[in-house]
Amino acid sequence: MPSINHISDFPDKLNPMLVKELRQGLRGISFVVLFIAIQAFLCFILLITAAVASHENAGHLLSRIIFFFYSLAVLVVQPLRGIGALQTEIKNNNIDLLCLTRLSAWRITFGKWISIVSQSALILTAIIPYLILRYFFGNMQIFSEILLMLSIFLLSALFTAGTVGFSVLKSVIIRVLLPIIAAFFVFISIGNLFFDSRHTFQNLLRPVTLDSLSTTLTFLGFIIACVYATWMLLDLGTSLIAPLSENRATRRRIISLGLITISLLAFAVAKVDMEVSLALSLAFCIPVSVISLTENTNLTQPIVAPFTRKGIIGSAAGRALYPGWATGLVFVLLLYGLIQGLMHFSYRANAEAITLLNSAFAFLLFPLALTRLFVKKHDNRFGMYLLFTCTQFLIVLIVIAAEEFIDGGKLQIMQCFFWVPTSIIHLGGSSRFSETALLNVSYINVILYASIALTSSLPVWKHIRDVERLSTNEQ
Amino acid sequence: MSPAIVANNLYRYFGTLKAVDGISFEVPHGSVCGFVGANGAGKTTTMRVLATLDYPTMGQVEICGINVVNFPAKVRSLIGWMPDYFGNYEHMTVLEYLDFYARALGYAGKERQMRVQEVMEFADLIPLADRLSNKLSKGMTQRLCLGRSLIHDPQVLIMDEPAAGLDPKARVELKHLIRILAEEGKTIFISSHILSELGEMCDSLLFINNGHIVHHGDAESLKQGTETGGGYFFDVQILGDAQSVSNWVVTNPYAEFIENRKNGGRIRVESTETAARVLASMVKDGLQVIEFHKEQRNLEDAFIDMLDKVNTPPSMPKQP
Repeated sequence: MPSINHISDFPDKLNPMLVKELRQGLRGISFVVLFIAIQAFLCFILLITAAVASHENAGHLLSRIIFFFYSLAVLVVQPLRGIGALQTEIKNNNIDLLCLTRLSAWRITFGKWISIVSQSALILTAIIPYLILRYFFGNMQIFSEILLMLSIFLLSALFTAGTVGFSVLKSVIIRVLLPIIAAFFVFISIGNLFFDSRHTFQNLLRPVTLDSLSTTLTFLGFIIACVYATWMLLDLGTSLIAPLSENRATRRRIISLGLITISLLAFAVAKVDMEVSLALSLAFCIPVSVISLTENTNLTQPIVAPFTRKGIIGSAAGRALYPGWATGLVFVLLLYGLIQGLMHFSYRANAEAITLLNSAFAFLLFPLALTRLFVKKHDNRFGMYLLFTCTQFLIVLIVIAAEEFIDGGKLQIMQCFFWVPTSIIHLGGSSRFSETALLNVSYINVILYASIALTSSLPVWKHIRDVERLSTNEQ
Repeated sequence: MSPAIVANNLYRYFGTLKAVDGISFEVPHGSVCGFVGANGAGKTTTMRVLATLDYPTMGQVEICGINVVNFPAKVRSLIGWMPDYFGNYEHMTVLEYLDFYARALGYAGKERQMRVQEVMEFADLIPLADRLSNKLSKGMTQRLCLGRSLIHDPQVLIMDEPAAGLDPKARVELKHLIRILAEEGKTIFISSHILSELGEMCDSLLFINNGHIVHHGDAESLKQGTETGGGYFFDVQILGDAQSVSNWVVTNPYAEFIENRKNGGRIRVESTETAARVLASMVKDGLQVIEFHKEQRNLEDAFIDMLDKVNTPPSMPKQP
């Protein structure tokens, strides 16, 4: 019987998706070209800089160049490679074949992400020899530069999670156009950051010097935020390819709830500014809220069973923790109540802060209410949600433009658009509403959109009760 | 022991489109069931629900007694899925492709090598081991796909149009492999447009039209037409005036004349016993019968007849 030469290029313990992607990716032309191009550019630049080594700023110049090319590769090119990550599998029918294996939806998405990130890591290691050479040009802050490099790598992992997570979506605008536009802005920012003469290299390194408690805490916050956002984005992709019976929502919501509560309490104890505390808690809230408000509402018995086994308490918890936008709405309202409560008790928050908090939640509920009113049966719930989110900004921009250009700037119509949550930013800056009026408007917005969404969720609650009844009968 | 596949009042709607509209059927263990229907009849949707890749709008589906919606992971370990189309991976050899799926199915070390070796031998993929998987012919690709679906040795194999686009040689090879799998006792649920091949392979045939099951039985019953109006068709040839056959049949209550043919005609009788009586009467009445043979309808004809029958609207009563 003929036999084959079995392959053992990667150990068994590695995620199979990672093995597959590395086998393919390392042979793919995009990685090879990028890798060689960086090496060639850096060698060339190093030689040029060596020639002008007498210049007192040669070290910093070299650092800027190394960091520019490194950032370009890992913040622009590498994340863009994730655009087709899951969509290619979906288009070729391979996602079905993958889902039928023992790979969970998470392992598939994670494998796709980690393979690109590990290739970014290869680029990172390829840069290190140039950093060592750069050391001999003097003026090097080794620890800070290494931290900056790792921070950029962390951001790269986050951006890659974004493209990989969004790569499940059918909409080309969200999946392709949005990352490309974002990549363009990142490119411009990188150019400005490393080549704009206004920023000295020491200024760039300042946030990563960790020379005080506040910079250390900020850096720690940055790491936690990156990890959390990366997880959320990957989980978004995972949820969209996971089978109906796989419950990802409960864990995601519990972790987010815990994280938000702990961070708010920690900020209060550490006496962090109320504005910073509010901004950070909202930053933690937004990803989980967006995902929760756009989830599929098809419940299956295995998801409900662990809750119904715990009786009324379990069933009540399920109202906020079952997958689906309707329970997501309850969860978001729970978050809203929690942050309101903590803001009141910990900071005695003023009207301005509460207005901001209300507007942020109205901003999250507005697209849901509109989706439920106008495009109930659309498959691409997430895409529609993003569309209505953008609509809020668009309306405000149009109104601002109208106020500016019609009737010589005398026209004041923004107050007629108070129902658009984003208008609060503009209205708050003007003197058209008093602080109390603005606060009331923000409360009205939250109540209005929450009521619309809750009313339209009634059929979903009936479905939930039916599934719970079936599950209870089977126990 | 529960049947290998059970669908009970299965519905799958996509908005207003009723892709599958309340079908019920069972497939026993170790049998080969052909799933036949025109394009858009609901075959692939049904198969995707069976394979846990889609979910029913209503109804229950079980594989080996396990609900596909509630316990997809358990069901997935029992089924092998071979879709009508899939894209092979770039920069990956046949061996690497199978090795990846073996890893994904949880095999490690020697066991993984053994499983890959086994399926490569079975699907005759060893000569192709180092070929890039996206540079294979359609026939080779289907063999690779079959090999992949067998890595975990599933009890039930669901194959959606496995022979589509294959040349005759590749079709024969695939049919041979399916026959071996059937002999090994695997339950095979297979859809195809090539009905003659299905007839040879399958223990039962399931016809679906516009989301409804219109026939479930073996190929023989379908060919004989017992499911589509009944009766047997005979080709009768005589010496002399061919018109004599139709003239004779008109006077005979046991036979029905269908159409004229060269040297005779085509008739329908209710049973083989009646056919013997009709033949005897013909000879007795002086017709010089030189050929009287039962027609074997092929499955394509039976399928077309069935669709005609199902799609013909019931005749409206005439207005007075």
